[in-house]
Amino acid sequence: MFKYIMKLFFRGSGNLKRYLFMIAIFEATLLTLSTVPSGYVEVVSKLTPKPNFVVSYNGPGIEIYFAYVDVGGEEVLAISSKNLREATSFLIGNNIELKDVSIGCKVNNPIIRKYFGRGNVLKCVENLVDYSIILDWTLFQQMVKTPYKKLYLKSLQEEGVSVPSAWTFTKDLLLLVNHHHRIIYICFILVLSVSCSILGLKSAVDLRQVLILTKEMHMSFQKIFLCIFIVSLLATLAGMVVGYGLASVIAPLVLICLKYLLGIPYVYLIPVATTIDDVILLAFLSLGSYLSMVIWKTIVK
Amino acid sequence: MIGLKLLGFGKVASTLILLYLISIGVSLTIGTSYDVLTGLEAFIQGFELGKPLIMEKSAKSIYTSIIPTRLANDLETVLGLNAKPVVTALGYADGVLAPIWDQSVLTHPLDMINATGIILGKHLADKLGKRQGDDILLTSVLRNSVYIVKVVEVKEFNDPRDNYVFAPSKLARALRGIQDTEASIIMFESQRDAEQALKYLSQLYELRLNYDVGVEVKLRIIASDGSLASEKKISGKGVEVFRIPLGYYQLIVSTGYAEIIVDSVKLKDSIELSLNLQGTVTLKILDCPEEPKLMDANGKILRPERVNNVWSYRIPVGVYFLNVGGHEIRIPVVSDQELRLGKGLEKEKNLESYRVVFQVRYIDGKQVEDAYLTIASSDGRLITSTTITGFYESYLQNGLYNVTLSKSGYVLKKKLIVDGEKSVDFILPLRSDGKMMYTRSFEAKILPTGYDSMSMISIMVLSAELGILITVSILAVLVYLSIISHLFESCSSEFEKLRELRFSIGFIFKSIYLPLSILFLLAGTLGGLSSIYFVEMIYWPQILPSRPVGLNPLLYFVHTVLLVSSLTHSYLKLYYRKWF
Repeated sequence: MFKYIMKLFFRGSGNLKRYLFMIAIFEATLLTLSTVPSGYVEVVSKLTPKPNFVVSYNGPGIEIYFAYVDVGGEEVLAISSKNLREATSFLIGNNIELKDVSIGCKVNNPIIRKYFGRGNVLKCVENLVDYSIILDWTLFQQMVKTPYKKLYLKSLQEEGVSVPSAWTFTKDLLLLVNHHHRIIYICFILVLSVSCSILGLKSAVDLRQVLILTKEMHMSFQKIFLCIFIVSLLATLAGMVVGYGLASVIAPLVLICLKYLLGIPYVYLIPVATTIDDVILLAFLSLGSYLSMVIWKTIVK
Repeated sequence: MIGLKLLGFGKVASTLILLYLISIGVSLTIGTSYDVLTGLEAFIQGFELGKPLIMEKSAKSIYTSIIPTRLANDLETVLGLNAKPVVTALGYADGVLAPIWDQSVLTHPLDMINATGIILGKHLADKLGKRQGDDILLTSVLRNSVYIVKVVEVKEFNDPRDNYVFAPSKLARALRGIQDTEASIIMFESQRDAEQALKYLSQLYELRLNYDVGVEVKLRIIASDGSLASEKKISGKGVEVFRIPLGYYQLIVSTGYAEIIVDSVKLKDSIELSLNLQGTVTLKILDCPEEPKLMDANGKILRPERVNNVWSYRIPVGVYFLNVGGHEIRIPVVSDQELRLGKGLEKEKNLESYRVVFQVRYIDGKQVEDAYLTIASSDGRLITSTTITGFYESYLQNGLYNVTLSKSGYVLKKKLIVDGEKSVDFILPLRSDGKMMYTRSFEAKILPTGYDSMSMISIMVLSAELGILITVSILAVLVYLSIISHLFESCSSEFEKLRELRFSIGFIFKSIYLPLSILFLLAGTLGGLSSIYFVEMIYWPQILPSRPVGLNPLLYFVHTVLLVSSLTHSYLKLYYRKWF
């Protein structure tokens, strides 16, 4: 019986074939969209070197304090920490011997040296350390008259801006692109549901004929609808498989085109298994839209 | 109305509702994709300067381009173009993504006393809640650097620069991670200037040197930033051809005893030069009753010949030391020379004296310490011989003088005519840090609007958004076609009747196509308006100072073109199927 219904399905106006074709196209498109662009950004983010540390206005982390000290009529940035050794190891990269006063290379001048009377001049590290005076915590509290501010240095990729900030940058770009994709995904659901409903309405005419024929063969409606459901489910699953297949071809092709047209480095990407959640949801939604229209047209009416 | 009645009001209404729903999705997708694509690109790539610029050809972004600063100076010196080197970097200001530009790009840059003072664009300042005097944490995308900087000024531009940070050149360079001889881009005043610069920069020029040198010497061609463009050993007679890019170069001959600057060239075309250098030269010392004590750089005392009270030395080119009355003076000798020691400091009473200022700087603009300045009259009378640091002031009478400056073996000679107050600049073709770099080969490309649409960064976003834009547009056409053809197919019996009743084509067009077009356009426009409303409502991650969407509302109505095209296609398909 199932074989017979299948034959009947693929005859007629061919709406079922079109349905299969539509699902395949939609899913291939969705997969390509979710794999190639965001996949590319994800690959780039994976290639981005991990940050050396993260700096933030919020804790937890190693606190560093900063304020300005007036030296000969000029403001000089002074920094300090209760845990100065660890804080400077973040900023300078290694454990160095700090005296009560350490002078950054870019602020090193006779006035500063005379004002502080002692202290060593640090090597340039291309960092805030170059433009500041590092003071021992007790000395910092004594010298700084104005209210001082606090920063937190962290080793983990927690909340805050990474140093170098390429990591934050790619993370932010990925966040934006993925957010946009979620909006697109919702639009896709809307478009696909409406399209499948239309396809359902169109195939209802064929199905009515199938029902008339099967009624003549004294088959029960339940059995017939079970068969219709199975055929539709198989068509949906076939669409998914075809979609994955198409995406596996389209994605590398798109990347090859982008490489030759725009010079983007080629990163081989194929649809990944994790996208199955989104695709199944979309596939069943399309199946639901299709079947609901079929049921409404053939049974209710 | 007749046409719509024929098709059935119910069917048309349900189709319109469907089209409205679909057009919301389609316009939302197309509009936001394009908005995100162009908005991010514009933000990341730089504002529309309205001024053209050139950048490194292989670089994909103005933030990754590195260009030698000397090119801007050379373009100005050699071609007279107004070219400005600018440093650009990308970073985070208190956690908000912000392009960081060298403040010299501004029309009225601030004379920043503090090296860590910055100017903030108004919008960025508002977003960060910062005012003048507040501190900001500045990090760089490309460098392992973090700075605490102070807001010196908040500036309103009323363009995308309102989202930018403007930093002092040194800080911008540190954030970008480039040396002080490098910048990111070169900006021009006009497109014509940029094109002319690119034309000259894209080729090499021949410098043909006909030489006749008595000893083996090293010939160095030094670029305007002190870097070494080329170096060759030459001796005897011959021709040497150098192929080097446009620039201002100095030709230096190194003899082992002295580094002599023989010529300077503004190279913008192939040229031919001659170099004549004697292996040994004659130094004659006059008006000296006793045998002068002349020593070479190694302290070896040289013996002269005496002919009619003239002490004559045949010596290699170099710097020598002469002891006069217990004082040691340095004498750079690079050609035959006469030196009168007798009445050097006596002034002629009738001649007026003028103030002459001598300045000596390294090629990077820093003052030279302990340079040796010698001033002699045209007949060889020694007037001044002294060690100077950066600056020296003298009063000289009307007349012609030979001025020589030496430092670390380098000898610079100038002829000076004094007929009024003068300022004489000596630029030593050395860097103050003593480093001798090789001239970096460089290929430039032009960005007519100061905007690189094909940058690596924008391509990342572009690849993510372009695909969506194209595929959704195609899908939109497919879906619209499917809906409209379904409407027409469901009314096929009505069309059949119209055909049998032999209604004219004009009637069908007026009664069906035109009303449907208007209604579909309305549905599409409503869909576009609704999507604009949704776009404003939807939350977007706040990584940028401004929202990445809603920049160009027209984009949200582009799909109506697709909608009407789909209707036209379906109508024509029906028309040809039913009436032919």
